[in-house]
Amino acid sequence: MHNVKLFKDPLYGYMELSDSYVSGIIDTAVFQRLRRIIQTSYSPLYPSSVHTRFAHSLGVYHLGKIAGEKLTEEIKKNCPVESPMGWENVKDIFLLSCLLHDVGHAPFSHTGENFFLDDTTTGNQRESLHNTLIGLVDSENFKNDVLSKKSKAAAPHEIMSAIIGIKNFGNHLRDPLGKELFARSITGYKFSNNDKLHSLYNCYISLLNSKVIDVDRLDYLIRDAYFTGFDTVSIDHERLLTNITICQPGGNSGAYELAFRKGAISVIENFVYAHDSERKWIQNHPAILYEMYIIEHIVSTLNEKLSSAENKLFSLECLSEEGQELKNGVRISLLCDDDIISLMKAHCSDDALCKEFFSRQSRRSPLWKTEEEYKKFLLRRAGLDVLKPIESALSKTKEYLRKNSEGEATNSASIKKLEEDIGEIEQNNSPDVDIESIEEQKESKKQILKVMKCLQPHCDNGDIECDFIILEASQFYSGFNKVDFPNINIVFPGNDKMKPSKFGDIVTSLKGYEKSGDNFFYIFYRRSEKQKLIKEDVCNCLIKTFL
Amino acid sequence: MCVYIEIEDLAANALIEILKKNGERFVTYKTLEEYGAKVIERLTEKNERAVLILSRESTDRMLRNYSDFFMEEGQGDGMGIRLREGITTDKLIKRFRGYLAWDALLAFVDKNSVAKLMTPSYA
Repeated sequence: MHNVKLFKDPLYGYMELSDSYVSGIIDTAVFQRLRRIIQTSYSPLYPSSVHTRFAHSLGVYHLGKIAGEKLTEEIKKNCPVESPMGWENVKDIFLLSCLLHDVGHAPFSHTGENFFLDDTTTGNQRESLHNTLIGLVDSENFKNDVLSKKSKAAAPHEIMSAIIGIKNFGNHLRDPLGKELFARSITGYKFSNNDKLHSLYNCYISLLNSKVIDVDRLDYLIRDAYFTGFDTVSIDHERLLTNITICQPGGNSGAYELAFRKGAISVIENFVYAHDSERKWIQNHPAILYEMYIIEHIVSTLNEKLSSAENKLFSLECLSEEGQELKNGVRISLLCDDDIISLMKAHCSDDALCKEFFSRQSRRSPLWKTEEEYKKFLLRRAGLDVLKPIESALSKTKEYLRKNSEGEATNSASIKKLEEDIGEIEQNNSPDVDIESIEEQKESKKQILKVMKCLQPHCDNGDIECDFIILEASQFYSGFNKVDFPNINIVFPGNDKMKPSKFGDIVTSLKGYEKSGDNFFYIFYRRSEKQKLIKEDVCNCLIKTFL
Repeated sequence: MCVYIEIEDLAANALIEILKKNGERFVTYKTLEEYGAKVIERLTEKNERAVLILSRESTDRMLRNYSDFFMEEGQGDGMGIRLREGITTDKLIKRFRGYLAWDALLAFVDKNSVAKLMTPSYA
């Protein structure tokens, strides 16, 4: 029997982890780094939202354990397929990937993540993240699956986590296939070979990395709600995960897919609703968006100042215990939030946005604070015909400033630069650019200039500085509308329990609908010990009668 | 200052060039990646730092946010982006070329970049 250690968690109570995982993984510097990375960027709005990726990783492991054990039990009970590794071993690899799924995460939530992709050099060739991972996994199938999916690639932190996981904890992955399954679980790269065996592996992968429901998302939804104090719908995670099963939509000869028993239906809806709430009311809040804008700008500035062609701030080397030396004699190892804060103070203290990060007094304020206010102020006054060109111009202004200026601000400097840009276009003699594109450039930039000049006069009396930021918030898009949501497999007990129904076909979800029918009915009956009423028989009879 | 080339910029500019030159309305992800690499190379030669953002998340976001322009089609290596019916080069230019920096636009239309789009299936 393995020795276990217990971790107390405010959400799940006691979480059990084996001694070998604690001493061999959790206690290592590489994993302990996660104690100094805050999970979310919500603290400007919810001051208590300072939970760490360390706690989240343990939480995902805990939920993964419930889910993994259930899935393994269902496979052993319902499938004649054997894995060469043994299903218990497959489950253990899945659990390891749950524990390590964020071990390569960048500081400050997802803001710095794209800097991991900056692998262009002017000197020696530097391997891309994908190539590094492909080399470590050393499987032709994995290589082919990854290279064919570059535009549907894993997030940079996922690739980084898989790399760090294999490099530092590969001794826990006894089988070569184990390394591949570990990498695939973290990155979400399913086996393209969808025979029965590999489709079952894909079921484990979906439990950690899915577009709708997975244990990663499940933990952060529950955890974020608890620590922010945001009142949202409750998610019965035990009910959800203990209703995991598998199905064969294509019949007995077909591939297996992950499914949920009917008992999970209400929880699935609550899950999507909770995710919608977090995205709409927290992630889209102007305070959060502005905080992310500040951090992105500061991280970009630090990257410029400290990264060289060979040694980059956001790199495998800076995440490691050994670390590396960057420009200006700066040495970084086990990169975390603290390092970024320290570097900001040392290298960007004169930066206006850096000052805004440290002192809220000098922060810009939003003109309106919600999508509803925006629509009330603009739509009601302007009407749709006028709102559309305004939004088009605002969008172009935001895109132009985001992609082409320092700090993205509308101010006298950016107005001057734009006027120079327009001049350059008018003098253009490039044969490659067609007339239509030139005209569109001129027209768009004139619109952008109009927006900028619209804001400028409000500052003429000197009380307000001409220094505006335009940030675009995503129009709210419900998870109920996601393509994958209605395709969640739901299994009902009965003879055809391996043949699922699709969630979208059987559930009227919580969204606006025109009434498609009048009412629905319940049929009640008295049970007898001598005979059991089979509902399929009753339904078949009704259908046959009224056909 | 680092320029980020996002997948919608890449897809839109690729499809403008493909549609103008061959009348085709489809580009594979593989071709887009090769085109993107050339665009980055062009910008780097002009001393502009540029990063290509290609990921599952950004592709899904593009297909969602610009669902009136693009749809996904195909399988395996043949998977890519198709332009929806009724979307013309004019509409693409209007939506996706106006805000580009002049240097970025020159990189997108550069003959070496565009050459990557002209595969045998399009010729």
